[in-house]
Amino acid sequence: MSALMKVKGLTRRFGGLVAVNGVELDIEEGSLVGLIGPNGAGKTTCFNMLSGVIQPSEGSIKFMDKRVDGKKAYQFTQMGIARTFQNIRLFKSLSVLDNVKIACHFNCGYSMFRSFVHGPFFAKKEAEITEHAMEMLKIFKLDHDAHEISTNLAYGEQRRLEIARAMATRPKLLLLDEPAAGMNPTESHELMELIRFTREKFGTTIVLIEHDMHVVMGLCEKILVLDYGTPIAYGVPAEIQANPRVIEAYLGKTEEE
Amino acid sequence: MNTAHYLKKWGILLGAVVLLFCIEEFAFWAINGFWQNLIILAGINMVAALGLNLINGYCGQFSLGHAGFMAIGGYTTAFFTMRFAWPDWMMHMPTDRYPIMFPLSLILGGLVAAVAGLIVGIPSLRLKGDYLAIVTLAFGEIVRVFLLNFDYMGAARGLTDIPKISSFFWVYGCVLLATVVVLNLINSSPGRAIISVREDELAAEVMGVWTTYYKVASFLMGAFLAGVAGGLMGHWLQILTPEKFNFVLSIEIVVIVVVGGMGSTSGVLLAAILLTALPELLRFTSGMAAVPGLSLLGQPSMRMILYSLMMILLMIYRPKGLCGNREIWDILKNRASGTPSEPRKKQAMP
Repeated sequence: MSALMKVKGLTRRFGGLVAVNGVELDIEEGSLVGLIGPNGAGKTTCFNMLSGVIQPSEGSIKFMDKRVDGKKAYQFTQMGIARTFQNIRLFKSLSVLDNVKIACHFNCGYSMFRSFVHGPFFAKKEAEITEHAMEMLKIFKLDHDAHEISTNLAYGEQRRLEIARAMATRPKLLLLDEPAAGMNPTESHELMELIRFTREKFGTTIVLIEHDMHVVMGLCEKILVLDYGTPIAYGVPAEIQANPRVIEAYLGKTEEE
Repeated sequence: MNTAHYLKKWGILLGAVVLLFCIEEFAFWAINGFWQNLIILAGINMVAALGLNLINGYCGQFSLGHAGFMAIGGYTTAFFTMRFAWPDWMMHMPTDRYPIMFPLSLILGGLVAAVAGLIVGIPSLRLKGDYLAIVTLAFGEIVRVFLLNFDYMGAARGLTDIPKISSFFWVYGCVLLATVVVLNLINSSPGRAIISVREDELAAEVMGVWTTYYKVASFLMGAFLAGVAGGLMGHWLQILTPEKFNFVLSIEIVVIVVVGGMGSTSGVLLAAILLTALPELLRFTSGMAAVPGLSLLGQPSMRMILYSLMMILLMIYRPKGLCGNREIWDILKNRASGTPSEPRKKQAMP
């Protein structure tokens, strides 16, 4: 298998603070990678760079063998990198269906001028968008709430909608920023099922940030651990769990006698 | 979506245009000049407010420079109708309505205003909220001061003797077209992209929406409609002075959009009628001076107090404007079916 995304020496500085320092990561196509670390370790900053929301200070990101760093977030998405947010960011006053339809926007297939006058071509393309959006909602079991305003959904459903919305952009790589945040054990168990299902159904490569170790260890094939912006370990879950540096980062060092 | 569907749609549009023409031909001239003026000005405000609603309401950018775009459109249109050598066959049409020359001039006026929108929009749309409001406010003032010193267009004297071409047909024809185009745009994929910028810019960006493009596009279209409104206004009032386009006019249009509901086309149309008519209709309260006990209400200055009072009451009882960000028919439909269409007060939070 080839690497879908190659990250080399990724560094981001905010003034004097080095938030992310030299992250190296090869994401294999079809893999499920976890990104963990204590609070403030730079996980979300790392994600922001991988999704084009902020620019790296140093280093390169290659996606499908093309340099993508320096491009804008919308271009990342159009190339096939979708993400969700730690704090849910739905289009709050719009319906569930419209939330998903917006994600289909960039491959709607007609120009703005066609939308001034709704002709047969427009109607055909618009029907395709609606169909695709409804299909997504059906897959994520949100179809009966399609016309509900998105903030009226329950918390778990909002998370699901955010993933559905990201998947509607037809991504090759999906970045999930703390999908299980604020969920009880039952909900996070359902979420794990959902992530596994998404991966099988669409064949999407997934990278996720998560604090819930149960979720990370249960889902991920490879895990990257960050501490103070620096990668300290990379490997399969069993290795990570046994790694003394990881335990030190999370729990602190025991005093030597 | 078959052929019959499109025939019906175009038929309705054509019917509406014919209806406008008939109203102008057979009814409009018969009514009192005061009412004529009110109806036309309401229509002009509708066109301008539909444009501003694209920027402020749908795209969520706060522009205070709408009068500037109206001025550019108004002066440009007047230039083309008065100073431009049109080919004979375009000028001398069998009617006195200039059916080719006037719409072309309006479109040119709108386009020049749109170009101005592009020039202001590209650098200033990096700004957000109050900062953008200040830049656009400054733009409006720059246009006004420029015109004040632009001798070719009459400078402070204003541009006078503009032919009276605007009429019920032209004004409401523009209202009709603008409404149809705006509603079509909003109910399409680019329209949803524009709304997503208002809802959450970052989320829109990571959903693949090129937010800068859609901000500039909505700014451009808003400026175009403002330009057309300015053109219509010049050819109705027959005089354009730079002072007409001071920032009070911008505020008036903003108030129409806010009262109508940011992001509600039908609400904005309704508010344009209401806010154009209200100050004038309140003049009739002076009749109450003769009624014993109500003489205070009949004082001439009472008009503005009542107007302000109505605005305050409206903002207390409908803080999101008459229609919020929904259309009037959606509100009625939801009310009939009993489904909630607003976010519930209680939120399921983690």
